[in-house]
Formats: sequence, C-alpha cells, structure tokens
Amino acid sequence: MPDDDYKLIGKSVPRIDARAKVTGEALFTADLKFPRMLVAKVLRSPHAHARILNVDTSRAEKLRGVHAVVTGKDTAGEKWGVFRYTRDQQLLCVDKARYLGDEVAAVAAVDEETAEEALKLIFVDYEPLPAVFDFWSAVAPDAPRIHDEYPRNINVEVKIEVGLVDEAFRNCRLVREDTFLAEEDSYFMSEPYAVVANCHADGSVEIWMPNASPHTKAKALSNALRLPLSQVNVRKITIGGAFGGRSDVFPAEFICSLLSIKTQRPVKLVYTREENTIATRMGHAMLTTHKTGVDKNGKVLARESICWLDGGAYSSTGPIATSVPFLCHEQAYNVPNVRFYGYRIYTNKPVRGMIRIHGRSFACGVDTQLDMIGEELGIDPVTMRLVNARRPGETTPTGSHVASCGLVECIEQTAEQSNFLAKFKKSVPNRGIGMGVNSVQTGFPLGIRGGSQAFIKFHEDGGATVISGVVDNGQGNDNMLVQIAAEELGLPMSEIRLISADTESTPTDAGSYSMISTFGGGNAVKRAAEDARAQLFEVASEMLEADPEDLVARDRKIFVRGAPDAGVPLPKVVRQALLLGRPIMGRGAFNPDVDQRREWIGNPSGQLSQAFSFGATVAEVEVDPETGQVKALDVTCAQDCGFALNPLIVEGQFEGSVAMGGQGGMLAEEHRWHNGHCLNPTMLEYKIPTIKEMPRIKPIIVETIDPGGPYGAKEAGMSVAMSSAQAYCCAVGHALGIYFNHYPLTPERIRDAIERKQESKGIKTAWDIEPARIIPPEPKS
Amino acid sequence: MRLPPFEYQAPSTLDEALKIKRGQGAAAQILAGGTDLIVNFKHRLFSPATVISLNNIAELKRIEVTHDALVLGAGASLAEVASHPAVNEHFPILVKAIDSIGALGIQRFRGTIGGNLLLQPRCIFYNQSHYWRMSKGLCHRTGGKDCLALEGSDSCHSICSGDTVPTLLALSAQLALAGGGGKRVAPLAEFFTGRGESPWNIMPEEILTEIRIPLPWAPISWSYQRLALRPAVDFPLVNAAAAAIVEKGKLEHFRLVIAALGPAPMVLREVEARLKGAAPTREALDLAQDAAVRVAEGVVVANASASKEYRIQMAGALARRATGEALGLA
Amino acid sequence: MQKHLLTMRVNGEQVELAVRPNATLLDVLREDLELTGVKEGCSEGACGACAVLMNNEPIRSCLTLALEANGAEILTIEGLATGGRLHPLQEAFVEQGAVQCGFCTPGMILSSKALLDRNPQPNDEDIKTALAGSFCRCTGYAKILEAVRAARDGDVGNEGS
Repeated sequence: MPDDDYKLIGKSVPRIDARAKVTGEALFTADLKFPRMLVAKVLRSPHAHARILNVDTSRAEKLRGVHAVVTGKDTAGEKWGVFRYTRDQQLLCVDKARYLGDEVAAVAAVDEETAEEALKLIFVDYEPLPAVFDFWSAVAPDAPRIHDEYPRNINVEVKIEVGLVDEAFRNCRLVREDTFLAEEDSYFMSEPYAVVANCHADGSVEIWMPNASPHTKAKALSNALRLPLSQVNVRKITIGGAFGGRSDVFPAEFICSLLSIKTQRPVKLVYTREENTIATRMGHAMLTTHKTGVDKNGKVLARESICWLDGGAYSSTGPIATSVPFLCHEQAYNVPNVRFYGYRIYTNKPVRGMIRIHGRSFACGVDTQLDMIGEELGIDPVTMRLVNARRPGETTPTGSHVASCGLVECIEQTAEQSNFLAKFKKSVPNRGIGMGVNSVQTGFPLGIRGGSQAFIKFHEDGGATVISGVVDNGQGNDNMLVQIAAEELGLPMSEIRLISADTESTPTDAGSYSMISTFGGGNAVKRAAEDARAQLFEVASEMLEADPEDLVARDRKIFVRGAPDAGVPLPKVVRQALLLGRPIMGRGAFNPDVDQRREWIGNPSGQLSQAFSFGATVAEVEVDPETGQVKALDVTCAQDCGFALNPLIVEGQFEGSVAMGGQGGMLAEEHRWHNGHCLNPTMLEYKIPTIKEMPRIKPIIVETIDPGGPYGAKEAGMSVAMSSAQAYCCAVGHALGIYFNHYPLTPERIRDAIERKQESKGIKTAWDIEPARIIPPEPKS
Repeated sequence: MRLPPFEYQAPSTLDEALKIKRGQGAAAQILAGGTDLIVNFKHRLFSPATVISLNNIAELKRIEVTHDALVLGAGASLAEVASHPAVNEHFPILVKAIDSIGALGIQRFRGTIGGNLLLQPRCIFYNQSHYWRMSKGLCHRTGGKDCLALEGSDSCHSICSGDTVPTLLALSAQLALAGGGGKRVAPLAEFFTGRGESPWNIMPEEILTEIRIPLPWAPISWSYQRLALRPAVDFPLVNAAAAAIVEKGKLEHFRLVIAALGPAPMVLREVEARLKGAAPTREALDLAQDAAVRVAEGVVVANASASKEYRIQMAGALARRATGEALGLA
Repeated sequence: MQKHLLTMRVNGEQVELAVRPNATLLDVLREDLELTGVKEGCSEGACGACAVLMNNEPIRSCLTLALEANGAEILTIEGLATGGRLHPLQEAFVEQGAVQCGFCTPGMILSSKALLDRNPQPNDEDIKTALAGSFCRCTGYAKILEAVRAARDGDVGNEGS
C-alpha cells in the first residue's frame, strides 16, 4: 500500500539527468568524437523493388580517403528478424532491394564529403521489378511477390477466437459493421538515428546508438557479426526519444560495426532526418473492420474485428504489431465473445514498427462505433463506455487476469471534470466533445521474455552505485531507478550513482519497449535495494543491539523505528560491514509473472502481461467548417498508472501523449506517398505539433496500487496517447455530427467529409471504405 | 548535412557585388538571409561557384519614407521591417504578413524582405533531398523535360510561397534592381513569369535593391489571410491579400491577390473592375470567392502538402475572407 | 575552396579560426569548437535544435554560413551558466520538469533567453511565438511553457538544486 511516509516516492522531485541536459553537457551519439574516427555513409536503393545484379565498388575503394566499402557480400548470409520465424531482412541487401531506401552498400572515409563522393563511385546494376504500395494491391492474386516464401505478401496472420461469437451476434439487439482506415504515422523523435562503433585490438566492438534495449541490440549484433556476446559491448548514451521507434535492430549498427571491424578504427554513422524516417521504422497504415453487437443497454456481447496492416518491406515486430491493436481493446472493454483476424501485409515501402499510438484505425474505430451505437440506442458516450469498461479482477478473453484496474474512475473523473454530458447534450455549432478509452500492457515479450536484474554496491562514505540494464530513452528511467534506490536505502538521490544500459557492466534487462521499465527494472532495483538494506540492517542490528526487523533507513542513518536520534550513520554501517568481511552487495531480480507458453501467433492465450494500465481522455474541439481546420480547446486525461512514483514525470508523460496521440496523431500526422516515395520525410513536411496549437491539458492521475508493481506502479502515459487519438476523433465527429472513419482528420479530409457525408438510419458517416476481409489461406508453394 | 563547395565573397558595397555578379552571372548566387537558400544548397538544388553575401552592404538595409513611398532595402531583415515605425504606421498588413512567416527563430532575424519576396518557388517533388530526387527522375527544374506533378506539362508549376508576395502586390509595390546597365524600377506584378523553372523576369547580373510601396492617398483598409497546416513553421497552402480605399461609401480602390497556388501570384482584376466605384455589398464576397476558385482551377496542380482540390476550394475561401475583412463586410 | 579567417566571440571568448566557406555555423560550433550542446535535428531549420544566439538574436546555426558570423557574438547553451551557477531559465527547466529526452532543450532555453532579454514580461502568446519554431516531441510543451513563466516570474531555486 502507498506509504504516506515515503520520503521520495510519490514526490515530484526534479530529474537527475536534467542538469546535464540544460547545460549541453549531455552527450548524444552524434556528439561522440574519437581519435582517428571515420565517417560512414550508406548507399540506398533508388528502386522500390529491384533485383541486384551486380555491385561494383572498385572505384569507390580507390578514392583517396576511403578506408572501407561494404556490401551484401559482407553479411555472411545472416538475416535479422525479431522472432526466429520472422527472419527476413538481410542487414545489407544481397539479392534484392525491397523498398526505396533499402541499404545496398556503405563506405567509411576520413570525412563526410569523401564518404558522399565515394557513394557516387559505387555502381549497382539493378533489374527493376514491379512493386506494390498498398495492401489492396499487395494481396491481389497476381501481385508481385516481395519475399518468395510469402504468398499474397501476407507476412503475419493472427487469428484469435474466444467464446461463442456467432451465437452471441444472433442474440444482439443491434449489430453494426463499420470500417476504419488510418494512414502511416511516424515517430519523429528529436534525435536522428546515429551509431558509433569502435573495434578494438582484442576483437571486441563498442557500440553507441539510441536504443530501447541495449541487451537486445547486443544479442542481434553478436549473431550478425558472429562475435561472442561478451565481445559486443553496447554502451550507455543519452537518447533523444524513442516512442517505439528504437526497439528493433537496424542495418545501421551492423554496417557501422562491420566498417569498424574492417578498418580497425572508430566509425560514426549519423542519419539525416530523411534517413531516420525512411530507414529506421515508421507506423503501419491500418484498415480495420469492426462488427459489433450489443444488447439494449449498449453492452457489447460480441465483436469480430478484421485488421489489415501495411507492414512495409520486412517483418520487424510483425507478430506483435498485428496483435496489439486487438489486445489493447480486449483489455479496455469487457467483450465476452470475440474474433480477430489480423494480417500484416508486405509492401514495397519502409519497414513498419510499433509506435506510441499503434492501431489508430482499430482504437478510433472501437470508440467511434460505440458512439454510433449509442446514438442509435439513445445512450450517451459516457454510459456506453461505463457499461463496457473493464473492472478489476476480471480476465480478458485471451486469458490475462487483470489485477488492478481504475478504468471506471478514469471515465468518471474525466467526464465529471470536463462536464462532459452537459457539453455533449448542449449543441454549440461546430463545437464538439469526445471521449476515448484504452488500455495498454505493462510489458510484453519481444523475442526473449527476459526480466531485469540489478546490483547495488556501496562506497566507503555511504554512497551507493546502482547497476541496472534499464535504458532511458528520455522518459526518465534513470531518475526512476535512483529515486527507488534512494527511498529504500534512506540516502539522498545525490549520493546514488547509476551505471545502466551498458551491456558489458550491467545485467540483462528486457528493454524499455512495451512500457515495462518501471514495473520490471524498477522492481529489480527495489529488490536489490531491499537486499542491500537487509544486509545493512544485519550489521546495524549488531551495532545497535536491536532486532533487524525494527530498523529503519532514512536520511543517511539507520535507527530503531521511532528513535531516529539514537541511530548509527549509514557510512559507519558500511565501513563496519567491510571490517567484518561482510561487504554490502545488493542483488535483485524481477521476472514478470506471465504465461511463458503464450506465443503471439502459435498460442495467443494465457497471461500476456502482469499488469495493464487504463486510461480515458476527453477532448473538446472547435471546427472551422469552411477550412476544415480544428482547434483543440481543452483536453482532460486520466490514467490509472497504479501509483505515480513521480507525479511531475507522470504528468509530463500524459502531456506529451496528448501532443503525439491526439493533437498530432489525430489531426495532422500522416505520411503521404507518390508510388514508393515518401513525400514528407522531413520535419517541415511531416506535421508534428508546435507549441502554438497545443490545448490546455488537465492531467488526472488515478492510482489503484497494482499488487505486482513497485509501490503499486504500472505503465504511465501510453494509455493517454492512445485514448487521446480516440477522444479527438470522437470530438471532431461530435462537432460536425459526422462519424469519421479515415484518419488522421486533416483539414482536407474534414472538408471532404462535410461535402460527401451520407446518412443511413439517422447516422451520418464520412466515407464508404471497402471493408477488410478475411483472406482465405493459400497452399504454400 | 553538408553544403556543396563554393567560394565566398562578402562585398561591402553594392557596386562591388554587382561587379562580381557581372563577372560570373548565374554561377554566382546571392545570399541574403539564407534561411531558404542554405536548405536548397543542402539538397543540391543549387551548387553555385560563388556565393555573394549581401550581409555587409549597409545601403541594402535602409528603410526610409520618401514623399510618396516607403522604401525598403531588399537586405533589411524581417525583424527590422516589422518593427519599423513607418511600416507599422502605413502598412500594418505587411507586419501581419511578416509575423506569419515560418517561425520567429527561423526567419525573423536572419531572413530579409527581399529574400521572402524572391523565395524560390516550392514543390513537393522538388524540395527534397538529392537522393530522393535522383531516384524519382528529373523535372523541368532539375534538367528534365516533364513535370512530376502534372505529367506532360510543358512548364514547371512550383509554388510562389512568400507571405509578403500577395501583400506587396496588393499594395502596388515596385521593385528596384541594379545591374544590367543601371537601375530599373518596375511594378512587382511585372516580375513574375508564371513559369516555375524561371520564375522571375530578372537578369542574371541584376540584384534586387529596393522594394518601394507607394504611400496611399487615403487610409487603406486591408486583409491578409493565409492557410497552413500548422500555425507556425509551415509555408502557406494558400494565401490572399486585399487592400481597399473606401471614400464616402464608395469603393475607390480595390485590389485582391491570391497566391501560393502556382509560380505567380494572381491579381483578381475582374473582381477589382466589378467592385470599383460602387458601395461594397455582400455580393462582393461571392464574386471574390467564385473568381478565386476559377483562377485557382487553372493554376493549381498536386504539388503541395495538401491536395489540389482542397487548395482550390481554399483559394476561394481565403479570397472571400480577405475581401470581407478589407471591405468591412465580415 | 579557399579557407577564410573567421573571428567571433563565442560564449564570451574570442575565437579565430580558418574555415571553409561552405561550413555552416553549426559545423564550426560542433566540430571545430566542440560545442556539441548545439544539436542537429533536421538540418533544414525547422526543428530548432540548432538554435544559438547571434548578437542576442535566436538564429538557426544550420542555416547560417559560419562566415556570416564574422565579428558576431555567439552564445551557445554551454555559455549560459556562469561560474557553475545555472541561469534562471536552466533552473526553471530542471524544476518544472520541462526536460525529458533533452535533445530540444538547448534550443528551447536559448530561444527563451532571447525572448526574456527582449521582453522581460512575455505573456503566454509571446512565449508560444518565440518557441513556435522549436519542436519538442516528448513534453507536449506544457511544462516548457510553465518553465518559461517561472523564469519570467523569478520563481526559481525552489528545489535547492
């Protein structure tokens, strides 16, 4: 239970890394500089789909200042994939290029100019092949095949069925089928991707890069480079944002390492903003058809969802990406009978990964359709959501027990504080209010299902060093670990040092993707600190002649509860332990309690994640019907994050989530294409929000104290990002009396909907979109 | 991203700059604020042999009021123009237009009034990296023979995107150029070719020196409207400016300009002709909107961050709003 | 390409170096002077991570030729704290939780400093106008706005950091 007596936990303490960041001292990967360092550049395919007949690097190799050139020949045939069964990407193209930007060759030279000059001297013979750029043409029977072993370009197929779906539909008062489409979105983290690799005489390689899991990167590189894991040392570096886009392994780190090994010199590869967009990851375009049946009270009895995802050229996190949109909603809403078909489809476009608001069409579709049903039945949006909301103690259709859940509180509090019902019922022209509801996992498996471990050692003056594999992408994980350790050890945060995210010196950690860091890494550090504290208490109990059970560590002292003045200083205990030959060495490990037999495609059943967060967001907007422009006025967002370890940081996560999920994600952010060319790979043309259009945001922290989380904490922020997108979508719909089904809601889409809206049974919808269909299995050739 | 190699000269007088320009012609490129040009260099849209910086030429930065005109040195920064008392007194519309440019930290202090006026026209197929363009194929502007936005077109449809362009046109500004055998002054409207690959009637050896805005003979009522996807940073998707003089209830002078549609801004002369001499009524709004849509339909192609259809519609909406505000009909 | 002599004051110190004409101010600050607090986020002026102050005005160092800074006074984030004491804006950014990943932070703080120097009592609209060309992908800007307000109001130094 939360302890009012916490000294640091639950307090808005400033982040430990902030000072280095406001002075410019914090180093990001591109800031690193080493003696004799070379600069790398990558040659990318100018074709969306082409066979590579020959690569001639001889002239480039002869250019003065060029130290090495690498091509697909240097890959040793290894392919990368997050799962054993999705290994489909050569880290440098060997036989084929599958999207505009695919890595064909790379050079290391003395400077950037020389490296660029060298790229012009690499001659590649391509045989252009027909390409496909959207899921409809990719699944056509006569479509060109992007990977030989995948007929109809279906990369991943997930099927889930729980309950008696068809029977339940027959018993419904109302059944609706609607289709929702969302375009590709992107991360646009502030820092463009960069890698520095430094190969040493002993054969080991050090690598720096923004990443969401140093240990995962090291493992992949160890395979690809055929080096023992202990020889591949991913180092800690400040990271400029991830949002899901740094989780995977990219050709860049392989190429950079290879060039460093070849040249025996440090090599730096810094991506341009355009390369960061097209050659790391972006979000999936997604088409979702929901068939939902309800009883007379609006309670959903059955749902069938079919989802097509445009996956781009390679698998990446495909099985996860295909499943998660469905899983979030089987968590958020209690629907007893569900069927889900998910298809991730290859196209000749950049590779798609998981993103903070992954599944816009699925999620916005769920809430938009609930509002449609509510309108038909005369039930308001708040009631529609409350009737269906997940409650604690329940089990999801695929078998996850939900230990803590404050969704009802989130819905009620956002509704109340935004005065939702009064605003919803009182019609002000072009003003709208909408609510979104979502739930995300606090950690799910990606490749390996690892936990997290931590060590704590002490300095003679009583200060401590925490050693943890957790990585900080910018969200504040470093601070979280230190705040927890300081609380447990009774030390000020300033006396705790942190070694983290370094694969040589820190134990493993699952990575900071999938919202697991606080729950996994935080628990591990808490346990390590508890272990260290128990050892301290053992020694102190002898010094104080007291029972260790009665001792407290606080303010650099150990004392008998209630008698702080009679305690011993912590440094003295540390030194005494050394004298006694019982040095304090804290150890902690945490493995989330999940069902290890669960698998994304093969067995999507069992405990997925130990904890789930829940959120509700209300957005209020004003639409200019003449231009289609939307002004967001107020956003009220609530999330059950279990327990807010640091409310200042949690609020910051909520606010950032509103910007990315709602303001940008629902009103503006999409990639536009011309055949395989991304028309807007840059900051100027991809429309992430500026400070000017941000609405007032009211964050509400709901605490349910999850039994498994450190101090009861779960994931913080992600549920807001997703529910914000849904809230904005429903609010715009409410303002215009039109239900929108193609996202994001750009001004031109809104104008188009106003002109084309169609009415059926009193429900006005924007566009007729061809539904996502079940794709019949085809015999593998 | 690196810039292509070039030599650099920063003369301190206009004469010196003209001399270099005469010697090198198109191989020498004028650098004013650079907030657009440097990006174009990075994308290898231009790789000049020499860059002539105007930064040290004080005479190009003067702002003064003569008996009949406000004279803006082409090299005056946007911040200097927008904060100048005479500009604020006579032409607040210009301040509004400057305020709407990109963002304060990007263009305001480095960007110049001449640079915004002579902004290279933009196109979603052109303002891309070298890699992007080379994998897409050449267009009229990059040495090819087609337009990527409108196949088969015999010229380039890049978009004149300066915020000050429709405003200065609505104010009947004139440009002064030096070089090419002396100084010449001509109405701004005459400088646009309507072809994106060579958008201005300016000789390679000429340098824009001044923008002259005639002082109005009576108070001007005005409007500047712009539409962009974000309230900052973005170039306009469409913009419109209107200037009117109403005396004794009669519209004595009216000018309506829509821009950011194609290579040249469009002065809606027919609206002007229809409205002048009469008392403004709400019919003017429909007239302006219809005319703008008609004109836009002939100009706009699919080469911006929004669709062709949307931009055409919005040209009408903005012309209507500009007319309404300038005529006090809104 | 002939190198030119560039003389400028950077963070209060006189600097003289030979630079190639095609070097941007960003290149020279980051590579020659090793002031890596100046960040390259988009290289086309849109993101604001490379903002520095030139003669107290916020500019984009990625869009400015180094030679154009000849004779100028340049301030980067490294020059803002004096004698180990953070500038009030830096303190405010720390205390208000305005820093997450930190990549945009130097540009945000310098743009805010130029604003407060120009206008010591900016309202929210003034602050938003001054920061509109600086993208932050983490914070949703709410705490950045609060930090600038706090610095404006002298409401800093409350955390004893």
